[in-house]
Amino acid sequence: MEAVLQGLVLLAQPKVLLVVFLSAIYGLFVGAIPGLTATMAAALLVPFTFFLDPLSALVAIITMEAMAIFAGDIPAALVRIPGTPSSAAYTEDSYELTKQGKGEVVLGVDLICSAVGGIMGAVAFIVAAPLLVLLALHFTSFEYFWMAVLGLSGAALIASGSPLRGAISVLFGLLLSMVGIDITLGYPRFTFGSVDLLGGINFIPAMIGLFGVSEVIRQALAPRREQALAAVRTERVFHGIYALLRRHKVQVVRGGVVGTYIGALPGTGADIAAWLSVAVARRFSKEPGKFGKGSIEPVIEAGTSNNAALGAAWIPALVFGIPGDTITAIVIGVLMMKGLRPGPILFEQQAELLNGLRAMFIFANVLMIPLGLLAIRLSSRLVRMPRNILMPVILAFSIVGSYAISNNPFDVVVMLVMGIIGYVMEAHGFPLGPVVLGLVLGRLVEENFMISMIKAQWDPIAFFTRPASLVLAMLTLAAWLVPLAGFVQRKGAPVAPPVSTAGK
Amino acid sequence: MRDVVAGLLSAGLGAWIVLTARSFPTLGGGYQGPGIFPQLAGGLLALLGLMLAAAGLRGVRSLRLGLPALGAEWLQAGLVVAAVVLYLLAVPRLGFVLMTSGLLLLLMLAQGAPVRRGLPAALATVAIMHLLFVRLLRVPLPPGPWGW
Repeated sequence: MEAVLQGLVLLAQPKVLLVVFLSAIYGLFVGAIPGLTATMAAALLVPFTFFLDPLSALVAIITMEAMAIFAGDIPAALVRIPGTPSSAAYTEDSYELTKQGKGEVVLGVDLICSAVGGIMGAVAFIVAAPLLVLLALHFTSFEYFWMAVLGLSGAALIASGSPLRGAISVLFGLLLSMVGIDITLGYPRFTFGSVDLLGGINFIPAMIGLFGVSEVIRQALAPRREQALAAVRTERVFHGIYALLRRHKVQVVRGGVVGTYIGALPGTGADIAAWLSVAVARRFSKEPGKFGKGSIEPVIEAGTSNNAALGAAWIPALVFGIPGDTITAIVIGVLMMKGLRPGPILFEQQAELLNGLRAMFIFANVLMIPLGLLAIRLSSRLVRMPRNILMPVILAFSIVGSYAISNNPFDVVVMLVMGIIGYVMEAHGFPLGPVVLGLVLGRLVEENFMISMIKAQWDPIAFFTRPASLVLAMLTLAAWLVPLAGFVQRKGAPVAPPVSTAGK
Repeated sequence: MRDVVAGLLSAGLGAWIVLTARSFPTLGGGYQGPGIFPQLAGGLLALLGLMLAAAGLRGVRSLRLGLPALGAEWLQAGLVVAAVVLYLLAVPRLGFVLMTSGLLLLLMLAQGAPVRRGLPAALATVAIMHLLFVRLLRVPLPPGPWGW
């Protein structure tokens, strides 16, 4: 508790507060506009965070993601299009309720639930992270290797599209991370003699390309049509909200718990949490038949869940260096760029920074309420923002952001190439989130693999002898057996139709 | 059919990686080196690519790839790509302010925005970028022929 208070002191600097305010506006803006995901927003934010101090950089991301995940529910309710993929699970119900004239109730309760969920996730981080750090102190390269593989597997298996495609995406990301000078011998790999490629593929422009530029290309090829907007009377947003929340308090708590759990699992994030919570809500509901026709229950439960997942995802990210979701994959990349390695050492040497983060998790969700209310008021204008203005602006920020990192035009080339690849991949049902995870974790995985191999004198059995390694290895293998069995049983028939979402 | 192509492409990439990585030096004494991880990942990719292609073959109804017909939208997408390339080539000469304004305006108008909206939006964006990057973050952006 006092850690949070100490952190609040740190946050009280004008520079940090300015960053918080701007990131919040940015997050609400991006979340409320369909087609712009929180992951893409994080990707575009990174060039700015690159030049900020670690606290401001991380605080910006925390604030942005909290706002964006809430704001994604606004267009879901108003025009039946989720602003971010994590709102997709209950778009139908939100929209139906709005059509029934209860739009302001939906948005109001969603706002409170998002804030509550976010705080639950934050508390989980505050409480659980130090405990897990004690565990992490016993981790060696073997455990880190399996943990990373487990995280990559989680992302590959649960991302949209079939697990097969998810696995291919992850491997693609891993292979991209192998371009450049290798860790063991310093040998240039896949550089084709290019000096620029010797430094490897910088993950920031790659990510901006994958999420930002690919969306610009996608919009150019398939312009969205204007949607009819449902009306919302914003003065009545919190009307009757206490009674509603009291009636559904079980859903709130359950959503928060499920969301925290899913978020804390490596590789799975807010969108998975939301889908799972809707399923759980339906399973335990007294009126499951109303789901899809305007039930408030999935909105409450999943709205809490997806925000809870956000904070919880930072647990594995900061303790083990394994991302809990795509955004924390980006966070890990940002940390490493600033020379801060996730893990027990971070908790020891950067206690101040972590206090600031703990405080920010709470503060961001408190701030969400007034700012979210403002966003609801401005919602109609936000949602209707013309694409032909917005997309060129995103492209411009992508280019300049990519360039600004190291003033190297080659980074812009990387951005463009990854943008085209990203578009093509998504159009064929290959999820992009796992690519980023592979790219960010590639070095870590290989490094731990090689260190472990060298320690074990190239005997692969050593990967299974330590108890923790064995457990993690078994979990990984078990995770892969399920889809594998399914594949064999169906004798290879295609699993899922291509789904186009970029993660959250 | 598209699955088949995607699968074969992935398999091809994986195979190429494995073949390239075989020539990487080793640590000596029979121990592996920088080549082992790419070979593992590439090999796995090749295997999964073949599985995808095989799965795709089961659902093949025709040999057509099902690519959408080339229409005006492809022009828009091509314009986006071309704009980035043009930006890269011209920015050392013309500088950040001119090129970014030009790029923004060009794309906005090409996608159908009216000038009365596009022009102020483009100028406002460049102004905000300048404020954020050059002023707040102190990042140098390429100056144009007149120094800004």
